[in-house]
Amino acid sequence: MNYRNLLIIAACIVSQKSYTQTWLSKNTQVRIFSSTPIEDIDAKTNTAVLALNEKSGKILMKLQIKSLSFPKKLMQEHFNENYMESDKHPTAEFEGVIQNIPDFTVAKTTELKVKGTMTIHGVKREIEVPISLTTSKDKVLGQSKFKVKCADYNVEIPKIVLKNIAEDIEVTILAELNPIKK
Amino acid sequence: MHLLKSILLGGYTLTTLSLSSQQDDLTKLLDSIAPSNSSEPVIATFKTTRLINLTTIEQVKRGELDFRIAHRFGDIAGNAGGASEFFGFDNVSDIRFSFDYGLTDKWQIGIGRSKGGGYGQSQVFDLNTKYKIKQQSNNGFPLAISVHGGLTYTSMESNHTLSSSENFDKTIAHRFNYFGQILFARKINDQFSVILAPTIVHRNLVTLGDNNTHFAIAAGARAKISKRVAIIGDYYQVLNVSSYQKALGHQMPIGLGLEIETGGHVFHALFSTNTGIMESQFLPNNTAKFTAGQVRLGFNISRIFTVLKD
Repeated sequence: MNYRNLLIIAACIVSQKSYTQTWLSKNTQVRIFSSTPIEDIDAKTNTAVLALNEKSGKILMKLQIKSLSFPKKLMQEHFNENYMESDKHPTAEFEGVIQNIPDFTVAKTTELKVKGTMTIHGVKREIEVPISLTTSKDKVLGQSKFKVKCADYNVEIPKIVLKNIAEDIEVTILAELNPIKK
Repeated sequence: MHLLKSILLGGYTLTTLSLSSQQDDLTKLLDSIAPSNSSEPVIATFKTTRLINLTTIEQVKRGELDFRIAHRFGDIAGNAGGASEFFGFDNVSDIRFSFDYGLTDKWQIGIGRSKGGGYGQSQVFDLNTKYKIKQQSNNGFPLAISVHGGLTYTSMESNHTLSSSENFDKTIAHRFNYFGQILFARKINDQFSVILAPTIVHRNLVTLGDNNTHFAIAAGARAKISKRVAIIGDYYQVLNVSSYQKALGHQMPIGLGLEIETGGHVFHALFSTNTGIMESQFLPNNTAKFTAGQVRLGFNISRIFTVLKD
């Protein structure tokens, strides 16, 4: 009896160590896209960071707002200065958990949902976004596309530019994750 | 049995500990590799390339063209103003049209044409340039430093009067004036920015008793009152006012205005004492006296066009 219990506990501790794998993408691509009949605006960065724990299904992502680059410099300045207030709120963050964690040992693409907290412009919101995960032995590819409503995050768009800036911004995320060895 | 219990408890604690530490590890991991914003450049110290009389450290970015119209009405009150002149709206003190283009994000060039502020020399063409030497950064260099300078050419008729500052018969060089400034600015917080600028103006032809070269210190500030509206102001202290200008009643140029930004436009509604718009005009010559009601309404409009996209 004693012996068996001890074994179970030992197995528990050991298994946790050996099975837990953390994946990391240092150059996560993020694209934001606003489309109106008058003007299409898109901005990109590839310096967002994303980490994933395959055991807990936890996903963390961090984006420096000022790293988003616009084709028009003035637009970039307005984006940071008037809309996102990047000096006050320098990052956008997401912290969530994958629903129905896939088997990372099998190479395949799975469409999943991630539930968690998005923080943009200092405003936290519970959201659920779709994610497509392509697992393989030494690489995980994560892709996601969803819409963010400016008003949800207290990003005001003045009436005068409503024709130029969409109320819903499309966000596309592309991350190539590599395993972290401990 | 007691031993087993404590082992179980210990095991359980260990398991939860290692679980929670994994979660913290994820946060730590991200924090350790996330690019820090510690030495980020400070942007938008000012909203546009000029305050009222003083230029700012802002540049037209690479591939962008800034078309500006600056307008100054006549005296609001005093001898030349009042109700009969509809508080200055019937008169134009000066108008300037200009184009500034960003060769790089640090270097802009511009051309302009102004009517001239009624100081003698009028019909003024100007060429100017601004170069960013140093950018302010968070936890880094505390100041933004730029140089700004240019020349003006008056295209007015020579008046052929001896010893007049509008007699250009002798040489074409007499039609040229020059100005130069070093700009030191700091965005103190996201609401408030200041600028200080040692300034030199050189005029090739002046009246007897006037100085060819004037030195001045300019100071300006911008205070945001909302995301798109700010109060702006600037002041020039001329350090060596000539005896000739003193006799005419030289006054220091003062500007105060409201800055409103709407997308690609920046609009200034302003008051200024000086009638002229170019540095080489208002700095040595200004005699408009604020306390005598010789202050005017004016506006600046800036529209940015993107010529080259990145």
